[in-house]
Amino acid sequence: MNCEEVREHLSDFHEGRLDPDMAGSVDEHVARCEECRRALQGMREMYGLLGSIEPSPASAAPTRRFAQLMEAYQLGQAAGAASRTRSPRSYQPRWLAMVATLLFVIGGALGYGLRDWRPAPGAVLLHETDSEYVLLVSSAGDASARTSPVETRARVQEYREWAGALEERGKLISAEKLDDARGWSLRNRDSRTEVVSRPPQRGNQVIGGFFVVRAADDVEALEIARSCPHLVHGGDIELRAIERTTPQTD
Amino acid sequence: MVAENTVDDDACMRRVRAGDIHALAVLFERHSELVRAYCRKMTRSGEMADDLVQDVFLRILKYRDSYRGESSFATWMFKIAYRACLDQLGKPRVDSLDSDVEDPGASSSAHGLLESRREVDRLFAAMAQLPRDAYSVLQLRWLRGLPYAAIAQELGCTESAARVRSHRAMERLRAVYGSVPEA
Repeated sequence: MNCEEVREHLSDFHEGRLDPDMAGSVDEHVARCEECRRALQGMREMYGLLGSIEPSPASAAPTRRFAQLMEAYQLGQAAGAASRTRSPRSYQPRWLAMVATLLFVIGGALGYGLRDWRPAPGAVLLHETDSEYVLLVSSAGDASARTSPVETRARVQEYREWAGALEERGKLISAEKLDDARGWSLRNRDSRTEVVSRPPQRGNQVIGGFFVVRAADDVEALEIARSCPHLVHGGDIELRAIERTTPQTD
Repeated sequence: MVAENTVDDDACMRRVRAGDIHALAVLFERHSELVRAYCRKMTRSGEMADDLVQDVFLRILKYRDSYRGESSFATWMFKIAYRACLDQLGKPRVDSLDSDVEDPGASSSAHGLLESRREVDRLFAAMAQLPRDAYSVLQLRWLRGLPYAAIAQELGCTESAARVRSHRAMERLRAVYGSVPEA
């Protein structure tokens, strides 16, 4: 037996899983080979250390724990900032931390305020020829924008006002922020599905959320998209019309 | 021996250092279970371990500017984890981040912690640097304590294939961990 073969079997040997002939060969080799003897010693040491680890089942929802980690980090940052500047307005740290976390994590894109927006049912008469459009908002993966808590609040307010105005006009169908940590890319590679567990990037842009809006035509849709505060803060928007299905195209 | 994901970890940490927090999520996803097992072992407590993991990654964020990439990311991370565990236990600390000198004034249990520290740190850092498929079989076996039948099910292979993978992974780990270079 040469050293390479011996090394391959050290683990089996230690566990006593080699048949007597093989085990005998390993014994013989180790008796005369210093390096392999040290390797066997190392293997024993390792089994000892690994065996002393108390096993534990996988923790549930590790991505939630990461979100909590970010929240804790932002709270720490916000607390630090608050102790330095006295703000006349009081704010709820938890809400602020959530917002800051989201901005921080997705690099200054959507604010927490968006999650509260749902169009009031039956609020506005639907114009017969209205079309629906999707706005995909994205920003650069590397968050170079470090927003202060004051700036954060201002931005959230902007988004709220913008979405609110759309809703009042009956233009807002949906608004959602995407979970930055829970996202996957699935691809077909050599007729196998490959899954990569991180939010997909296009170039260095990550999609942070979306709006679905109603507009009379493309011109109005573009107007709506242009007015979105996301652009001002350095993000990109992709505007797509939802293809209409009319009886004639079926 | 530089495994592909060693370079990847280093690249991720450099991005964190540059301000890309999403890159930390990648490191967290990869290493948090291993860090938790390390903290559990070092503090001999399962209860503290979850909080300690948070603490470790918060410190990684806080001290990101001090990451130089001279040693591997895994080695740096477990140094931080060690200090976090020591702080948690309220024992006197070894001063310098890079010092391996044991503190003669330490209490006996802290001294005991320091005694075994080198081997444990080395082992965990070695595990963190394994290629992902080698790591995952050892994770299932040693961190989660699953029997081979369950491991085989998780990995989608036969039980004997799982054993083979485990033995190969152990040898891979030994080569990284030990002073003897891979044959």
